[in-house]
Amino acid sequence: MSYPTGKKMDDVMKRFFIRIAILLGVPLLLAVAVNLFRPTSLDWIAKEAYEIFQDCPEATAQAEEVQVEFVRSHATSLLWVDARSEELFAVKHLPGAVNVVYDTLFPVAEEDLHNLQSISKGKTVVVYGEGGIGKLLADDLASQGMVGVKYLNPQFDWKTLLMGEMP
Amino acid sequence: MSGHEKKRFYGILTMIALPLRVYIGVVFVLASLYKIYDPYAFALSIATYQILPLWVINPFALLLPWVELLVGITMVLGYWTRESAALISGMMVMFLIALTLALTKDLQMSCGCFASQEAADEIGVHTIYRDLAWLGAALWTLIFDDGRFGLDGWLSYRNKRNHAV
Repeated sequence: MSYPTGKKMDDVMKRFFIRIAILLGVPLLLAVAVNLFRPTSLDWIAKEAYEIFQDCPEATAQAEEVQVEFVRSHATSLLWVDARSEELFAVKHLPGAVNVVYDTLFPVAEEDLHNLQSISKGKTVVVYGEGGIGKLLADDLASQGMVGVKYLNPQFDWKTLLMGEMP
Repeated sequence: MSGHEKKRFYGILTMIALPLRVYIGVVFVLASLYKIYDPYAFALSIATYQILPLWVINPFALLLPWVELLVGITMVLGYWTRESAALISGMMVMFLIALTLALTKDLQMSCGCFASQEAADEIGVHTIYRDLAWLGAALWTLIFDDGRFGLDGWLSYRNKRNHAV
């Protein structure tokens, strides 16, 4: 196997790069032509960002569960966070509660997190909601760095609280 | 090593390059087909890597499959072999960088290389090894395939014969 040298090498290199240009140029022409006549052609410059499927958020920290006794003893220093939908929150919610809707697909928005952190100063955040969403939201908040966040025991009849009664 | 032995040794290296060249060419042709058929799906795959800016994604999705198809065909035929092998090596390096970045970001996705892999085969270290093997095959062709077992060789032989006549 011998390799060219000198002027012959220059010619070889020149031919090499011309061929590379052709191997890129022909596909460019084909791409333009085929895309032009394709019934559902793709815009050469995307107008909107692609919707990329993200993994569901996984909690990396666990919030603490609290019982009735805790609610009774800290009644004045609690900040209730309602994890339910806006509609259910609008119908009825615990006095002073803030609504942070839990979404299984997305973690809590940074803006919501900052708001929550600013209004919860000196208070204990306790999350509640139907099924297990209280725990899920609390775990999500804890995973995002919120300290001391707790959730109400799902067995606890928090709906009686909604009626203004303390168990 | 004597001149004759050297020639024989390089002849063996060139012979090894033949199946590697055809194999990598077929891989590129097959990889290009679904991307040409559905450029939107390929554009989405590129976007999932979260590497390229939005304005580059569609030109990339439209052009790259045609380059893959053309160099795949030329590799199989042994036409402009070194140039095709150089382009394939460049693409493989590009794919390897993209895969490595996606793995460091812990993205759970298919590599978007073949239609049949969609959703079924997540990228992982095995994808890196596979691409490294393909890069090796392309580099082997680039270095050792002198074109004697392909159209390059046949055209060169025909030219020489015509000049001799």
